Amino acid sequence: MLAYIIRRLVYGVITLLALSMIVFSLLQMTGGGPLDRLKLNPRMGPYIDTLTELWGLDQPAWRQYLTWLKNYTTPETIALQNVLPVIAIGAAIGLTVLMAKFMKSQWQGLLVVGVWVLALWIAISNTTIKFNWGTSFSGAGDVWNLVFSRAGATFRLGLTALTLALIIGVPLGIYQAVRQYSFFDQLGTVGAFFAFSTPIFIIGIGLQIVLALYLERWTGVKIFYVTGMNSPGYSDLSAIGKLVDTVQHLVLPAVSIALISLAGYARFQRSSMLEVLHSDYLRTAKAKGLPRRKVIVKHALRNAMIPVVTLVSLDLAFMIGGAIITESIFGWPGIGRLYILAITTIDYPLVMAIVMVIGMGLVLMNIIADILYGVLDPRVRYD
Amino acid sequence: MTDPDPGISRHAVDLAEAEGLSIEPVTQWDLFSKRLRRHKFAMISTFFLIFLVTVVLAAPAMQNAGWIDDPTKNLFDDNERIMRNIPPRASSENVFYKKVIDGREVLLEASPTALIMGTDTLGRSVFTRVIYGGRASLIVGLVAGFLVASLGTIVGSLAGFYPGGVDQSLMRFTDLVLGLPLLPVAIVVGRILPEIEFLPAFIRQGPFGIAMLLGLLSWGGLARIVRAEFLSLREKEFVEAARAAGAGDSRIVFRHILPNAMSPIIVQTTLVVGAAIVIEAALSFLGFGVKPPTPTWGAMVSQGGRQAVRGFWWEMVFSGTALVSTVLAINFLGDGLRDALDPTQTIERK
Repeated sequence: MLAYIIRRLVYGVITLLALSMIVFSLLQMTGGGPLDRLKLNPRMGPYIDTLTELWGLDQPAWRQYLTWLKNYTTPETIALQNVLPVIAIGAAIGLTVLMAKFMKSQWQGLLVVGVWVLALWIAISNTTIKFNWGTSFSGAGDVWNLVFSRAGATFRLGLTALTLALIIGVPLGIYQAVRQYSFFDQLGTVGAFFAFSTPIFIIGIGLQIVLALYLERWTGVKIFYVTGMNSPGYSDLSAIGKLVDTVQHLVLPAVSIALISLAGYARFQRSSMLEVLHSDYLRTAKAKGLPRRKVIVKHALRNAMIPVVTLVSLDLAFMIGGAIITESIFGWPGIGRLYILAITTIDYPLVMAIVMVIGMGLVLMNIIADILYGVLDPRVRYD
Repeated sequence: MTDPDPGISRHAVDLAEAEGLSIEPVTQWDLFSKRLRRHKFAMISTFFLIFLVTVVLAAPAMQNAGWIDDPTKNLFDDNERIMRNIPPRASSENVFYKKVIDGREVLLEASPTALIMGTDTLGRSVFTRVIYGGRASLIVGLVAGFLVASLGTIVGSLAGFYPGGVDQSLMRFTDLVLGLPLLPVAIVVGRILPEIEFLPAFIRQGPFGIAMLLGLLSWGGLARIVRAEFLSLREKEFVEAARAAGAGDSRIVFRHILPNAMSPIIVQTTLVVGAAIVIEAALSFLGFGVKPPTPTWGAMVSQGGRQAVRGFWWEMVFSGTALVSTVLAINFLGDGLRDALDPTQTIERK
């Protein structure tokens, strides 16, 4: 198991290296270079050469890449605020070794990942750490600070969307399977097809126009907001007012990301549940006289949930794409919108930093999902 | 009385017919088309897609015949004012567009269909642009689908047929391609593409570049499926029999394994075509796709959405409907094909 995790991490690093090389060489192919925009400004004239030298743009491309790679991966400043990080990492190493030696349970892999996530989180939150991810070419400041000031907004949006998709999609699929061929099941199937086939930007703009603009026009009450994460007067509101304001802003973008994934989960959960419902051991459970409720909840559900776990991880890439589009529709101040701005101005350091953050998220989520799959389904073996 | 088939006794034929059974040979194709025809949505989708392809391919001819207008030309009224954001209406009387002939600007009469879906914010016929927008989607779907089908099949079958080093290295490469975040990378390429000087213009500007990009990025899933099919089919008795009879590798792959692996390839390719059309639309929506003034549904939804906020709903609604119904039809067709190509499925007699 540990060997498997380590091997996956190594493959992950190789994937990330390939990703960085691909994006870096693509950025090199731009016609004018990143300083084109600055050159348009007559007052920038004397500084162009200085900037070219400062940002290393006069170097050959491969040297620029190596410099970027070195700066990206080595911490610029690192200082411990207290001894907690040392204790956490030490405990994590100790626990990992102990578990590798003595634990034979299927939960081992998940526990190892959990321990490390917790330890790294404690370590990072008690350390002052900063990487030199460069300075934005378009004058937006230090890239590390910029990315992390925007990350919270994207997390809020993504987590809400994922939760919505799971708590609605999974029960929907189960209900459809239990009542197969009922009117509700047929409706759900057709609805899922429509949701799959509707691009996320049409859902987003549709919700924005109908539920935010027209609804306000008809009712005269502002129920949902069209853009932004908070109202301008947010800090003056009471606690409840703050919550209501947040929800009013959050619902529409989260729903537009969640809708397509929700349809996917429902569909997947339905087919996996149907497969289990028609299996031999379920017939046995029914034959020995267990109540229907118990058969479905205890026997069917546990096994039918397994495939959905893998779908969630594969879906993450899709959700990131969805977040990029949704954030630019709803003016959500997250990483996705920052990415669009960075690409438009060909801001090398910012584009590279965001692509790599997205890539790292994908690699980690895929590993966690594969491990989780093995934990939930003891038939899966890693070697 | 002459016996229709001397090989079968009249008595047996009578018996069979009395029981409602047919002695006609049933080919795979018969089974396939019978199953597909039962899937109503798939049939409707097939007709819709045939209609769409015909209309889209015939668009330039229709423009030459004067049935539709030039998608990039502004329309004017008889006082030579540009007709911006005109709602849909039945007749195009007194509507013109400007054209330069022999160095002189002349007003030509617009086609009767010019205002059937209204005009956009630059005074162009939405109807014409919806039809022309289908060309970009169609090219992207077909080119990306072709690339994915060929790359995925080649990589998957090589990996599945030659275990060991070839399999390992090809699948690691596939994992790598699958690990790339599709939309962020596609956005970078879409942004850079027009500025790459060594590429020919039709790749830099038009939908071909986007189509090739999407094809090159999304063959990984199909390669995995084909490899799994090959791994299981390779061990089957009929492959062993073919090998015992002296068949070479290429004969086994092309005559014995590949025909049996066709159905997942067809189904997956259909789904990829739908996905590619959606991603191209998303890229065009964000402004990193096909460059204006070439109309695309994604760009029309983007521009139409801004107008819809002001109450001019038609551009967004019509282009959005075109996009959604095309993708919906492709997905329904894929679903129908999946059912129809599954040989384990039986047709229950009703």
